[in-house]
Amino acid sequence: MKSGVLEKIVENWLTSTNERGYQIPFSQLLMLQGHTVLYVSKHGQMEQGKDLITLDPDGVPCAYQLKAGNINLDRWREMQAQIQELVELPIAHPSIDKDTPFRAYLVTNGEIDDTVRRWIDDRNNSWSKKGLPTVNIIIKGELLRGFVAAQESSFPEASTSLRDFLELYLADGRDFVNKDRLASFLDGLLLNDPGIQTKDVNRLHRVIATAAVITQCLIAPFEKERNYVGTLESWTMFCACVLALVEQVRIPDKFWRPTYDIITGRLHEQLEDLKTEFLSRENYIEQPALGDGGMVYQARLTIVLGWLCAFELSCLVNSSDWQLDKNLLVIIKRRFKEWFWYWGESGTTYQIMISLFAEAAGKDSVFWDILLDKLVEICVANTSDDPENGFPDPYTTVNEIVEAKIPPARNPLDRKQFSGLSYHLAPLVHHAARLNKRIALNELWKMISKICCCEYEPTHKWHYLLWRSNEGQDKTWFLKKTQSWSELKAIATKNEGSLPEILYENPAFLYTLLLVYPHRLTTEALRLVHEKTMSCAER
Amino acid sequence: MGSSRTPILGLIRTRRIHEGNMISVTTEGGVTSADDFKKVEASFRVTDEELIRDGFQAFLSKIDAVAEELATQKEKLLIGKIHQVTESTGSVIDAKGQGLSWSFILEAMEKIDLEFGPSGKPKNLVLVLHPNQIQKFLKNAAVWAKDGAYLKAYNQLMAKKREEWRVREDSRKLVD
Repeated sequence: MKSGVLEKIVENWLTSTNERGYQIPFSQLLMLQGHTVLYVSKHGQMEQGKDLITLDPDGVPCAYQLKAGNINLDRWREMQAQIQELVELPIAHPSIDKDTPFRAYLVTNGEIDDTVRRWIDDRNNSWSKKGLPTVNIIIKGELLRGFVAAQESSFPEASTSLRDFLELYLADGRDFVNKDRLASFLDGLLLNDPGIQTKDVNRLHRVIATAAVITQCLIAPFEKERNYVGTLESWTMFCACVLALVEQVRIPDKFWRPTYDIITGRLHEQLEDLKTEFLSRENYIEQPALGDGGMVYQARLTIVLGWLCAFELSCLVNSSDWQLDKNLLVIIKRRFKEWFWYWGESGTTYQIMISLFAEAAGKDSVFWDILLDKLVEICVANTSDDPENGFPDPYTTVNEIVEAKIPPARNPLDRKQFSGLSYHLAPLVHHAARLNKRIALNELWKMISKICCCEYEPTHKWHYLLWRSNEGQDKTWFLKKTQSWSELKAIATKNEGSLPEILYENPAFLYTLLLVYPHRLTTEALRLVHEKTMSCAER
Repeated sequence: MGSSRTPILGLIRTRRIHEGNMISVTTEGGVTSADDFKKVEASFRVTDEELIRDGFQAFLSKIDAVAEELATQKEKLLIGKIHQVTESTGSVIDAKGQGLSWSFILEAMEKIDLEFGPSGKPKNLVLVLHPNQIQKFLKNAAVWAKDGAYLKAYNQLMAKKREEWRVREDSRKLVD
């Protein structure tokens, strides 16, 4: 039953996606067959007719050109020049000698007409005579068999997983990701595998690659609607789950990093597209306009700018010659009062990314204005005599907050539960201390010292990378009434080492992780991203 | 969750904890206590006869009792925790069977850090009594309110507490 359902879903996904949509799963399929993936094209822009370059298990280079849909004679004529490049231009990659013979593949998720096959046979004869590679064909049926076999080999047994998978696959691609459901599904897929107990890294390698294939299916609704944030959030949750697995079992790099690198590459590709679209528009109203504007508009712009700034910062950390985009800084300076909305602590990390970006890009005072606003907002709301003013915690989503504000409020928010407490006060206070903002902190200290600080401390460090952890302490405490400034600065700059090791090794991922998991913003997480940002900005 | 029989719960804010299996609380005074989560549960039974006769109402009729039971258990846990913390911090005084005299009440208040509102009156001050003692206490309180000695001692204590509070509030600052 499950097998039949999965096959139908995979077929439905495969035939409705474009070449970019099946590029990641296809690369994972090749990895599962023992290939080493050397190159994955970005934005569907081929390099010399090649979308993918791999070394097969025998070390033979392979070049693939990916197409979507059926290929008839008319279409074949249109794409002949690209096929010619695929075959006739040598592979240009530092790991491959230009004179090494390679195999060429034309891949499509549709069918190829018999007339086209005959054309390909003829051309193959001619290329073969010239000592060039010939074109091999991979079509829908072969792809489908490969994807279905991969899915079935690792699909979790629990019936709840199938239900989660179906719900996620059928989700409205214009909506937010259902993170509870996606996390539950990914946990089942990646973190409940028996290979974890036996530390079977070969098995876990397969699990990670097939999980990427399955996740691509789940992301299809968001890609179809060009919902960048939905796609970014889903892939970030996938990567967090992979890193949780790696941290737990300490899997050597070669078994997980190729998949991780392809996925983070896709994340960056999506963010580049988002930036291009954002910078090309004057007005960001989305249809239907009836539900847009006001706080919905402000929330969307805060989220989008937060993502774009996190992207710039993670590129800055990963690449020594990355130049931060000053256009974003101009927009931030001009619009932050008008556009940014701090709806609750689930919005803190967007604002922090924007502030960190502004600090790194121009050291303009706007970075501190943004932070100070957040500190004041938390202090005023959470020391108010009216508990109804409580500021929502990071577990409360922007969706819940907006829904509660739009009359008639179907799901009113109990703000009393948040009054007097804050998960993000301590990280922000320590951040301000690192920035030497003593006067401002002293002004606010009467309020700061009355608010109960909260932080979740997982028993196992790898649980930090989970959407929800079931072993750990919810800690609450107060900052000291009379606080020594030098002691506060020492606390703020100390490396607590409380994050998973994998994040100290891959700090660039923390920028996106914090956007998707705002409840993971701690003093140590903010210290690490700030330290990394500034050390890279100064080089 | 507070009900007419468990008014303390009605005074206390509750919050949802989303993760983990433990909580750790450090007070303003720096005392930390950690605990795992406690399960609060109650059961009820609807017989076949009740279900056939009353339908869904058969379940509804039991819900109040279940809620009351859950609230009582929560309140007991809460009072037990307060007792444990006050014992550990030396904040417990023993009436030694002499009942609630005004001097005893003032002695108890002496142990508390009071907060004051803009009107100068104490904030968030709650006296929790056993239900059997409430009537007697209210009767005595009415008498004490006319007792000059009590009023003088009370006002002196409040003045002292107000000053302590002012000093505490003034101490909320950054120092070198």
